[in-house]
Amino acid sequence: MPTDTNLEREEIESDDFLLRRVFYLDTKYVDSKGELTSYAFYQRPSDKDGLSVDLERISDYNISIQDPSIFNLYKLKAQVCFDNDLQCLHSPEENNYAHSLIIGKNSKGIRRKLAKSSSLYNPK
Amino acid sequence: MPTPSLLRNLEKGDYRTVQGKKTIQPQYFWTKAEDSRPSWMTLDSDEQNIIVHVSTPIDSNRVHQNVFDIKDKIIGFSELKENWDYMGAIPPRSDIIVKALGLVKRLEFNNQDIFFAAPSPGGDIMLELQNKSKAIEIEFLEQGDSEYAFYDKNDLIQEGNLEEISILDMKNWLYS
Repeated sequence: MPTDTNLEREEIESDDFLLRRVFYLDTKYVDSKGELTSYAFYQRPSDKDGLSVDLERISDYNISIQDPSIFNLYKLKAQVCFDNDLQCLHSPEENNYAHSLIIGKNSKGIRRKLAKSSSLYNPK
Repeated sequence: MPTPSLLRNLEKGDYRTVQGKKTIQPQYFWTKAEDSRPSWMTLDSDEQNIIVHVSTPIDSNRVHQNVFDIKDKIIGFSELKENWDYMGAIPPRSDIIVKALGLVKRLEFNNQDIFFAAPSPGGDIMLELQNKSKAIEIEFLEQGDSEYAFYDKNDLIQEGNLEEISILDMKNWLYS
């Protein structure tokens, strides 16, 4: 889904949280301790502009998770991205205003850092 | 090695005689020991000291069971379909699965258990070994290469091509 350039963009601050949607059936991207594995932040061909996340403070849980029977949401502090020389860019889409991108090198070390710094998101 | 508190806590009921040697009950050891290396313990002839043996048949059983489960899991990757994670993931090819199983067999031979195995969205397979704060990720990549990475407290310490390192090197780093 392309970025909707007509929508206003938010500035992502270091204390913001980003939400990453993760497939969890059969624990493929979640290890036996319940922690995310590096593959939860794997850059897919569809992620050519950056890793897709949602900006938590303006997100809608139902839009972010799409299908709670097969996905979980994990939250990651934007500071972790900045500490690893990654950029966080609010990139609103027509049907998901909170959509954002983590932009930068998607190396093994970075993927693991992001995964192990994430925790399961439980909306209030 | 067992901790001092473990030694103090051992009582007569915690060991049994096997082939003339008093041996610590394996279930007691597994629940108490901090060191995850395959090992077992006996008492010396004076029953004053505990002797720790590494890589014994008792511990091999545990590794065999772990490896059996991991093999089963990896073989199961062959049943994955296109878009198996509902986000466009492609399943690993059979040659990638065979390569991963080959390393699993070698790890089993070296009495090394495997913490985790997972397919990537791009058709790669990762195996992860762990000991305390250390972890080794081994990846069989879709394009054919195989790579490893050492992590301590999730910081990348070293990475490279899997052909450049032996299992012994991996174990030496993991337990150092």
